[in-house]
Amino acid sequence: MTGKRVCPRTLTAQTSMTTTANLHEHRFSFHGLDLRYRTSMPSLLSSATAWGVYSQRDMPDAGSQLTIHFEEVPDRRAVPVSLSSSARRLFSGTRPVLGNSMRALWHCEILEDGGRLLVDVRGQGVLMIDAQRGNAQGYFFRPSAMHRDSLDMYFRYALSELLRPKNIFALDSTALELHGRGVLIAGHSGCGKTTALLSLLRSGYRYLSDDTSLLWDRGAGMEVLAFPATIEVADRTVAFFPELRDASPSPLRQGIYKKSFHAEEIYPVTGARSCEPTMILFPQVTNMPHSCLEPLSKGHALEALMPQPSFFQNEELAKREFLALSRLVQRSASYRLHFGLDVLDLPSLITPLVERH
Amino acid sequence: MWCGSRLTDQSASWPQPFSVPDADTDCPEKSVPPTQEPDAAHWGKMMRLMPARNPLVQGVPMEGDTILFDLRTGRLHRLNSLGTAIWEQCTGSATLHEIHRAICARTGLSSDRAHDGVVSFISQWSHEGLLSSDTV
Repeated sequence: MTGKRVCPRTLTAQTSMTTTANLHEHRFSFHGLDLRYRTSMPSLLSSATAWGVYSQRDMPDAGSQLTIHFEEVPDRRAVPVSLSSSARRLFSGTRPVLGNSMRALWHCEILEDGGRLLVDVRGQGVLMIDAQRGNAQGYFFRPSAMHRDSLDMYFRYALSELLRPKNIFALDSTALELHGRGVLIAGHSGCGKTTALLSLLRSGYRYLSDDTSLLWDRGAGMEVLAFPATIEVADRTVAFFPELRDASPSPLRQGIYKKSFHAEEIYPVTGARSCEPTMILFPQVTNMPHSCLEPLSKGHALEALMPQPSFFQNEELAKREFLALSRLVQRSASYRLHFGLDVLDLPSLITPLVERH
Repeated sequence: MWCGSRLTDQSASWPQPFSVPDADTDCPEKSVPPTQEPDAAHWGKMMRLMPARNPLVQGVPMEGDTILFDLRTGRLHRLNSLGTAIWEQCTGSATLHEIHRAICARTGLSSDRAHDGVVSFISQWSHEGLLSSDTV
C-alpha cells in the first residue's frame, strides 16, 4: 500500500516537459493519473513543482487525462471566460475553501455555470474548472508579484476539483502513515492539527499531507493518497519542537502567514504514497497537562468531515462524496483528541491504538 | 445543520388533532370518538398518504441511527432509531397507517407513542423537503 516518495527536487526524473513557443507543458503521473500542466510564465511554473508528484503506480483510470493551464493576463477584462445567464453563485466571501491556510487568502466568489466552476479571486485572478472534462484554466493578473504559496494553493485547489469525478476527494486534514495504517487529523485552523502531525512525524510516522488530504474511494476499498505540501507552522507550534526551534540555520521559510518547511528536510523517514485509513483524530487544544482521547460517534465524525454546504456544485458528486466519507468513518475509529501540553508524548497515546487496528 | 433526535420535542411540535385516535385508521389499539369528526376526516385522509423518500436525499445507517444528506442543500440530518425505522418504511408503497402498524410491531412502542412518532417525523420531513412532495 505504501511506496517511495519522490522528492520534489527530483521531479524532473519523473516527469517530461515540452516547450512550444512560450508555452511550457509539464507532464506528471499523479497517483497514476496523467496530469499535464501548461503555462507560459516561469513564476507560474513553481506552483506545479513546489509539491511532490508521484509516479510508478498502476493506473487507476488509464487513459484519463487532467490538464491545468495557468497564464498571465493584464486584468479581469482580459480573462477569456464568459458566463451564461444560468450561472449561479455558490459562495461569496472569505471562508476557507480548501485547507486552512487559504482562510485569509480566498476573498472570492464561486459560481457554477453549466457544470463549470468559476472562482473569481478578487484582485488576483480567475480560475475556471471543468471537472467533468478534466481541465482547469487559471488567469492571473500579476503572478510574478504573487507569493509562491498563493500560486501553489490555486494549483492544488484546481487539481483537487479535477480529482472529484475520479472519486478522489479533498479533506481538511493532515495525514500520516504507520505500517500501512493511515491516521487523519482533521479540523479547522488552530485546533492543533499540525502540532499533532509533527509530534507523530518525529516518532517515525510517514508524511502524506498537511492541511489537505486526498481520499480515494475505490468502492471495494479506500485509500488516503499523498498530497504533500510544505508544512506550515505557527510560532507557538515551533516552540514545542527543538528540531524546528533550535536548528541553525533555521529550516523555516517565511510564508504569507506562517513559517513553512519541507518534511523531508527535518524528519529522516521518507514520505508515504498511500495507505488505508484506520483512525481519524479531531484535536482541540486544551491547557490540561496530559492529552486524552474521547471516542467520537461516527455520525459526529461524518458531520465534522463534510464540506461546507455552499460548495456543493453537483448533486451526483455530492452524493459520491457523502458516501465516500460515510464509508471512511465506518471503517475508521474516530476520536476527539483533547490535546494537552504533553505535545511530544502524543505518540505514546496514539500509536498503540493505531497498531491495534 | 445538525439535527438531533426529533423524538424529544415531537409532542411540542405536533398539533393536538393528530394525537387523538381515528376510526378510519383501523388500528386495533385506536378508535375515534364521535366528537372528533372534523379532525377525524382530515386524519383519515392523511393516514392514507403513502410517503416516499425524496431521491435527492441520501441516507446511510450509522451505529443504529441514520444520517440523511440533502443533496440539494448539503444539509445533514440525524435520525434516531425510531426515525430510522420510519424512514425505511417510506417507500411510497405503504400508507401512514401501514407504517404506524409496522412501527408498532417492529419497535414494541405503544400505539400512541408510535403514532405520535410517525406523524411527527413525517410532518417534519415533509416540511424539510426530505419526502417527495407528491406523496405527502
